[in-house]
Amino acid sequence: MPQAVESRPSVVRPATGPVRVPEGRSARAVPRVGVDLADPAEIAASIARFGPRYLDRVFTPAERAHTGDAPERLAARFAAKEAVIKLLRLPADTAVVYREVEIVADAAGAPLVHLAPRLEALAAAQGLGPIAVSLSHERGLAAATALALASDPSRAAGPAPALASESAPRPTRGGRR
Amino acid sequence: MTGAAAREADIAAIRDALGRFGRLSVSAGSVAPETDLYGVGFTSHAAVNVMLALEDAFDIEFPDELLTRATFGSIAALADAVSRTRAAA
Repeated sequence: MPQAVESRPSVVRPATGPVRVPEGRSARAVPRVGVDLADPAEIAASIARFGPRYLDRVFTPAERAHTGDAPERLAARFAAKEAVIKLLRLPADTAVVYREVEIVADAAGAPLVHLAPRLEALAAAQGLGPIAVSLSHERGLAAATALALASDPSRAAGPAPALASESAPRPTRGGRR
Repeated sequence: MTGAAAREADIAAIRDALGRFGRLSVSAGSVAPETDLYGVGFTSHAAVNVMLALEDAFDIEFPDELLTRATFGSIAALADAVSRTRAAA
């Protein structure tokens, strides 16, 4: 067979050795992945039992608006929050505030992760780049995967910074929509 | 009520909340105070529900900084969190 592409420069990445990454990023970048499942029926049961108190403790106003409070869509976002939290490898004594991981959509409708400043600092301390998420829900099950490049895998999660005062506003007890 | 009796009452209420919302793989009544709840089927989402149920039962509101995996790791840890939240109120 003629080698029609013989003159093209090779772009094949070697099977081993440093990953080619943009300048300024560590050549030791490794992917980090988190995955989680959620049950829309459990979300629906929580909404039925606790109403807005549940919704506003777990989801941001933007998430509630985007999903219309539909349990299967909220379940996919809960799974995504958990997947991101797994990715962040939070120590057991670090607060997990679900509103601090917001799953919204970009202009094209693709899911987008917004971290509150406290978690953004934790991610930066581990050399984590932007986090990509993918969501799915079908027939009573929701799933999400989160992926990011850690620029320096030797850096473990450090002690958690104190809760930032500018973190997501906390809903008041008593409920409101 | 003595301190020990109050603690027992708290633990009973926590077991009740775990029984209703914890989705544990075992009876909440059979779980020892120090048992790792995540080892008996507890999940993050169930923990949110148990937290809200405990807030109702004790008329408290857990501060964000107590919402750690360690806080929800055992009945004893939950009882400590309830005490601290009540004391701070």
